[in-house]
Amino acid sequence: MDEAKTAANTHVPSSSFAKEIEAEPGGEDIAKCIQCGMCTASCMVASVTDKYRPRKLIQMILLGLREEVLSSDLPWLCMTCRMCEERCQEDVNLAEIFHAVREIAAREGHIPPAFKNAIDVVLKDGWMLEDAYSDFIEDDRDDLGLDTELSWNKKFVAKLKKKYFKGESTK
Amino acid sequence: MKEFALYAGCTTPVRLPAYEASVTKVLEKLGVKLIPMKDVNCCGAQYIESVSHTAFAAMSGRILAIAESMGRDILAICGACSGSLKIVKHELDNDEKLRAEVNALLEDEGLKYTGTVEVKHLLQVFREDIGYDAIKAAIVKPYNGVRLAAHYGCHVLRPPEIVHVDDPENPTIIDRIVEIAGGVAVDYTGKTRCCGGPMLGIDEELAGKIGTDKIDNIRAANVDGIITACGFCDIQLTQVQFGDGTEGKERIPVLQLTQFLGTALGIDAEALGISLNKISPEHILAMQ
Amino acid sequence: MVTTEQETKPKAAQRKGRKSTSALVVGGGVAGMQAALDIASQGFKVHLLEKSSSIGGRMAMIDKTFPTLDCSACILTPRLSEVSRNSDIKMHTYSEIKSVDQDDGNFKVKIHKRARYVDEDKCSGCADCVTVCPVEVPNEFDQNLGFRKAIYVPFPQATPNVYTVDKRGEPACRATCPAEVNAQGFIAMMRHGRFEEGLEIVRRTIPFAGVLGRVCISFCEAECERGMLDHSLSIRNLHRFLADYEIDQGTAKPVTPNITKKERVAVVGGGPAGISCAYQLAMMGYPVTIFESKPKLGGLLRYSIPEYRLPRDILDIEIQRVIDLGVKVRANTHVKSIKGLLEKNFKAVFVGTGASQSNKIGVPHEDAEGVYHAIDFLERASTGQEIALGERVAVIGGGDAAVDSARVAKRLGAKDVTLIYRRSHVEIPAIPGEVEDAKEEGIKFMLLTNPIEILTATNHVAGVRCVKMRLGEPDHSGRRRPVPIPNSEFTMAIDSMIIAVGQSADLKGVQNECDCSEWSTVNADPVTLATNIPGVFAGGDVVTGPLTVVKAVGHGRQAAISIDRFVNGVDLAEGRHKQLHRVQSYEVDKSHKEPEDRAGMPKQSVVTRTQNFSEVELGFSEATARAEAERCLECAVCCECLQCVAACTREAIDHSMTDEVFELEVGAIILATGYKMFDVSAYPQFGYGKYQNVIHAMEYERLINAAGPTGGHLIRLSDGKIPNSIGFIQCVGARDVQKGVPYCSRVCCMYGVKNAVMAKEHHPESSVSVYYADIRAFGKGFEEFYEMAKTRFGVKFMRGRVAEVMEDKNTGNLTVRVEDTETGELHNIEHDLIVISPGIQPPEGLEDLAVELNMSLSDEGYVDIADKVITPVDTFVPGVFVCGCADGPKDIPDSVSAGSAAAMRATIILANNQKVN
Repeated sequence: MDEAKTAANTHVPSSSFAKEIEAEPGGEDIAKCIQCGMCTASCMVASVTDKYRPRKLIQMILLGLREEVLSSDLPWLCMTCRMCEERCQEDVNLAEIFHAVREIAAREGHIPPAFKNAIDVVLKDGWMLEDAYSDFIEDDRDDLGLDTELSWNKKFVAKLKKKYFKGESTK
Repeated sequence: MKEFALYAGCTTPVRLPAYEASVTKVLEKLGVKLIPMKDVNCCGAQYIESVSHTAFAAMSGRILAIAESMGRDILAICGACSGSLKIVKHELDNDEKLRAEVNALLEDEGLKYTGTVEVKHLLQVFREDIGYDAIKAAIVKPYNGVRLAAHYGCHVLRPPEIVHVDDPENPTIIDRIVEIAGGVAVDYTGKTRCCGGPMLGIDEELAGKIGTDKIDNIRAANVDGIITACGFCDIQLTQVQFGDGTEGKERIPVLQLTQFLGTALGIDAEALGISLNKISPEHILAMQ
Repeated sequence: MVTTEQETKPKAAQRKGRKSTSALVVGGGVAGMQAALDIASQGFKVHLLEKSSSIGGRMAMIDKTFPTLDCSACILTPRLSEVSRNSDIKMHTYSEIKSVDQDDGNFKVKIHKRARYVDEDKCSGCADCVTVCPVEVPNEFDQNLGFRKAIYVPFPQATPNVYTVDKRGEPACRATCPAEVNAQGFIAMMRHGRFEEGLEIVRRTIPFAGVLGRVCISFCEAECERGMLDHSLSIRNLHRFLADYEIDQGTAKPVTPNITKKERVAVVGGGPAGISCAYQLAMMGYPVTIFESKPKLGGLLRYSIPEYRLPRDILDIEIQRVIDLGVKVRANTHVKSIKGLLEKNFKAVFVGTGASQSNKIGVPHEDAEGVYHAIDFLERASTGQEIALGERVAVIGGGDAAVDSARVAKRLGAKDVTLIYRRSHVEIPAIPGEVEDAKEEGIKFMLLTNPIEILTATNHVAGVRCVKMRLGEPDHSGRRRPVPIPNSEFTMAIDSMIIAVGQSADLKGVQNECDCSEWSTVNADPVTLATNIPGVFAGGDVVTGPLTVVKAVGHGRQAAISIDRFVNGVDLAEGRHKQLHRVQSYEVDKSHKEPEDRAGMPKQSVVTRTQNFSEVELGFSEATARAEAERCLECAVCCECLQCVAACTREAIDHSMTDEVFELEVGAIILATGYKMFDVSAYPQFGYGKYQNVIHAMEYERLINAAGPTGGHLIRLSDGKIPNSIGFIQCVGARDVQKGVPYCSRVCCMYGVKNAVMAKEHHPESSVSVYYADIRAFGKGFEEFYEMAKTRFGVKFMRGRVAEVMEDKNTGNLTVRVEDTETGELHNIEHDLIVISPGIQPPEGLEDLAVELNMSLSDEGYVDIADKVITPVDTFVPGVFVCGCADGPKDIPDSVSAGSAAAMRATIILANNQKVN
C-alpha cells in the first residue's frame, strides 16, 4: 500500500489550469479524479439538463481549458448539495473545486448576473431580503409573537465590500 | 433550562415566520430556551461564498463571534446557514491565518472568535439535547398512522464529517420523530436528493424540474404530507407544486417538523402558524 | 483420517533446547491446505487449524474459477481428501488460537477447540441424525439463502466428514426455569406435531406437565427472547397442551416400575418437592417411600390451589404416574424423627414438608369468628367442607393465595369480595393473568390500604378498620415500602375475612432436627440441598420459605441427583455449578421476523365460571398450539431434544462434550486466515438489504451453484422469476478512500466478468451489463477472458460508476443511474437483478492474532510483509509466514503459490531444527 500512497503523492495535475486550481483553497483534490462518472450520475442538475456534467467540467479543468471554463456559466450551476462528494470514491470535493473556479472567475470579472445581483444586495443591506420584508409579513410576525424589528447589521458588510470587493466585479 | 442563541437567517424570518415561531414554541415546551441573535448579518452562503472565501468566512465568523460574546451555542434552523456556520467554524479552527484575518476585521466591534462556540442544527438539538425519550414522554396528542415523507435538506446533512447531523445516505432523525409522534415514516426514491432550492435564484426552470422530481417520487410513495427541517427546502417544495404543469394535481402539504411535532405536544395550531402554510395540512392534523 | 500419534503434548520437544520440527498452519482454505500438504510432503508434521467445522474455505463456496471457468469444487475436492488422508497432517477444525508464547525458537500455541458434540472418530457422516433434527436455521455456507439443520455439515464434501451440532448455549427459557424444563426442546417437537416426543422431553425434568402447565408462574416467559420482538411465547400453556393431548388421545403408555437398586430412600412430605424427588429417584431405579401426613399426596397443589385452576383429575393422573414407577406411599403418617428413618434402613432422606402455616397480621380480634386464614380456608374449600361466608368478604394480601381465596369466596356465593393490599398494583406478587381473571369476575381491589383492626359484634367479625398507605423508599426486597398516611383511617362493614399474608414453615415440624433458621426453614446447601446431617437433604418451601411450585419441583430433582451421588459416594458438588453459556439477546437474529400476536387462551365465560369450580382456562387447540410453537426463535439453535442421539447407531453424539483447550509446540507458523467480504450495506444508495433483488457476488455464487440452495437455478429471490436482465456493479468497497478501503481488491474485476459470463451461460437470452470504473485484467489469460466475455458471450460493459439503485415497488425491478463516461450520456437502466461485486478486507480476528504473535498489521489491517520483493511470504516475526489473502487480496492461483512458498520458508526452519536436534 505504501507504493499506492507514494503514487498519489507524486501524481501531478495534467494542466497548468489544474495546477492553478490545485493551489486555490478547496481546489487541492482535483488531481485525484479518475473520471468514473459517479458525480454526474449523482447530480440532480445533470439529471434535468444536458448542458451540465460535473465530470466533464472537471475534465475540462484537467485538460487546461481555462478560458472556456472561466467564461462559462457551468461552474456556477453547482448547487453545492454535495451528493457527488458524499459518493466520490476518490474523495474529490467538487463543490470546493467549483468554488475555487468561481473565485478565480470573479477575480477576472466573470460573475453571472443572478449571482452579481444577489451579492450586491447582501453587501448593501447586510442580508438578502430587506426589500421583501413587507408590512403584511410584519403583521404575521406580530401575530406569531415574533420580534418585528429584525435588526440586521449593515456596517460590517460595508467594511468587507471596501476590503474585498474593490474591483469591477460588483459594479 | 438549556439555552441557545437562535440564528434564524435571512429567509425564514421573512418567508417562513411560522417556522421560526414553531421552533421557538416547541423547543420551549421541551425545555430549550432560544435567545434571538441581534445585530447579525447574512452568513454569506452560496453568493459571497462563491466569490470571496475570506469575506464569506468573515461574515459567518462574525456570527460565531457574536454567539461567543453571548456565551451561548448557536442553533441554526436553515440548512444553508447551519452549513455555512459549521464549515466556517471548521476552517477557523484549523486555519490560523484565516482566523487572524477574520479576527482583525472584528476587532473594532470588540468581537473575537476563539473557537468555544458550537453550532447545531435543529435536528441535532432534538437528538442530542432533548432526546427521543423526552420527546416521546411529552406527546399528548399522538397522530394515528399518518403517512409522511421526510426531507432532510442537503446542507443539513452534508458534508457529514463537518456537520455531524445524521447518516448522509440514510438519515433517520425526522423519521424517528415522525414515528414517535404516531405517524408512519415512509421511505421514497431519492430521499437524500436536493430539492432544487439553491437553483431558485440562478435558473428557475431547472429548479422547478429538480423540485418536481422530488415531489413525483414522494407522490409515488402515497403519502399524506412532507416533513422538512429547513426553511429553504420548505419554500421550494411548496412553490414547485404551484408551477407550470401542476394544474389538476393534488398538492402534498409541506409541514415543518416543529409544526408537526408541536400539535402532538398540545401546542395550538394557530401559535405554530399552520394557517400560514400555503398548502393546507388540515387532513394531517385531522389524523390526531 | 487423523494421526493416531498424539502429538499434542510433545514430550520430546519439551526437553531443554530441543526445537520443534512441526508446523502450524492457521486457516484451512486453499492456501492453507497447499501449505500443509507441501510441508507434510517433506516429511514434517503439520497442524492445520480451521475455525469453521470444515476445511475448504471460500473456494468451496465458489461456483467456477476464472479465467478458465473450471468447476471450483471439482478442483478442490481431491485436495480436501488428500489433506484428510495425509498422516502427517493433523486437522483441528472448529478451533481457534487462544494464545501464543514464543520460547527459544519454538512457539507454544494454546488452541481452543469448540465442542462439536460429535465424536470425530465415531461419526461416519451417514446423516441419520439430520432427518430427525427438528431445528432449521439459515445455512451460512449458502450465504443464508438456504437452510440447514442444527446438526449439519456445511457442504457435502465437508472435511472432516463429521457432523457438528450448532449449539449456542442455553436458551433463556431453560436457563430461567428452576426445574430446568427444556422449553426450546419440547416446543421444537411441537412445531412438527411430534407431541409425544415433546411430552417426553418435559417429563425428563418434571412429572407435572399438566399441573405446572396450569399453575406455574412461568419465569421462562418473562425472559423469553420473543418478548424482545413482540410478545413472549405462551410456554406454560404449550406444555399444558402436551399433557391434555395425551389424555384426549389416550396415547399415554402405561408406566411400569423399574426398581433396580437396593438403597431405600425416604421422602418426608408428599407435596411438589417430595413427589418430584421421588419421581427422579424412581426413574433412576431407587426404591422410594413417601411419608405424607394428609390422606392424599399433592400438598398445596391438592389442598390450596382451587379446582378451577387445577382440576384434581389432572393432579391425580400425574401423581399416579409417579406411584406407578414403583414409589410407595405412606399416607396419614406423621414422621416423628428423621434420624429414626435413617436408623430404619433408609440410606437417605429428603425433607420436603413445605411451609403451610398461615401467617397472622397481628391486629386485634384476629381470632374472631368469621376470620379465616388462607391455607385453612382453601383446604376447607378444596375438601368440600361447609363455609358460611356471608355476603361481604374482605381478603387481606396480594399473593396467589389471596387472589385464590377471593375467587373461591366468589364461587362460594359471596356477593361482594374486596381484596385489600398495602402496596400498589405494580407490586402485587400474584400471577398477573390470575389478577386479570379475578377483576373480570368482579373482585374489587382496594390497593394501598392496610387493615389495623378487626371490628366485631358478639365475637363475630362485623367490619374492618383500615388505613390508607403511600409508597416510600424501597426496602431490602427492592419494593417500595408502604407507609401509612396519617388521619386516613376508615372502616368498612364485612361479614367475613380471609387473611392471606403469607405462610411459614411449621415451627415445631420434624425438619427442626436439621440445622434451621429462626423461621424453622432448613439451612440447606443452595446447590446440593444437603443439610448438616449426612444423607439428609431438603428442598421446596421448607428451605426457601413459601415460594413457587416450580422451584419446589426443581429442588426435588436436584436433591434426587445429590442423593444418587451420596449413595454412590460421589462428591455432591463437583461439576454442579458448570453451566452452559446463556444465549444473550444480541446473539439471536430477529431481523427477519415479523411481529405476531401471542396465542390467546380460551376461557369459560365470566357468567358461568363464577357459579362453579370447573376449570377457567380451556386449553389450546392443536392448531393454536402448533402456531404458537412456530413463534419460537430457537435461540440456542440446538435444543437438546436428543433425537439425534437416539438416531445415531454409532453412538457418536455426546451432548455433554465441552470445549477443550490444549497446547501445541511448533517451530513455524503459517498464517492463511483468508479474508472477509466488504459489507455492501455500507452503501445505502445501492439498496442491499432493502431491495430483495439486490444481492452480492457470494450470494450469486451460491445461486448459480448446482449444490446451492436453488440447485443451480439462477432466479430472483423476491419472486423466483428468471432474471432477463442482470446488472453487475463493480468496485464497491474497493478503491474507496472514503470507506477506508483505498486499495484495489484485485479479484473483483475478474470474478465480476466471470459472473457476468456465467449469467449468460445460465440464461443465454438475458441481457447482462457490467458497470465499472476500469477493468483490471492484468496477466496472462485475463484480458483474453474479458474480450471473450464481450465478443463471444455478448456481455455489455459500461464505463461508469453507478451512483444509485432505485426499486420499482410493483415489479421489484431495479433501475441503476449511471453516466456512460465514454459518451457522456446519463442513463437510467432497468434490470431484474443487481449483483454487487464487493471488495475484500482482512478477516475478523486477525488483529487479535497479531497481538498474540507480537506482529504488526498494515493500515488496512493486513499482515505486514518484511520485504515484499525478496521475501514476499515472510512477516516481521521470524518463523511466522503468510499466504493467501492474509497479507492482501489474491486470486486462487496466487494464493496457492504463496501457500507453497510459505511452506518452503517454514520447512527451511524445520529442517534446521532437525539438524540442531
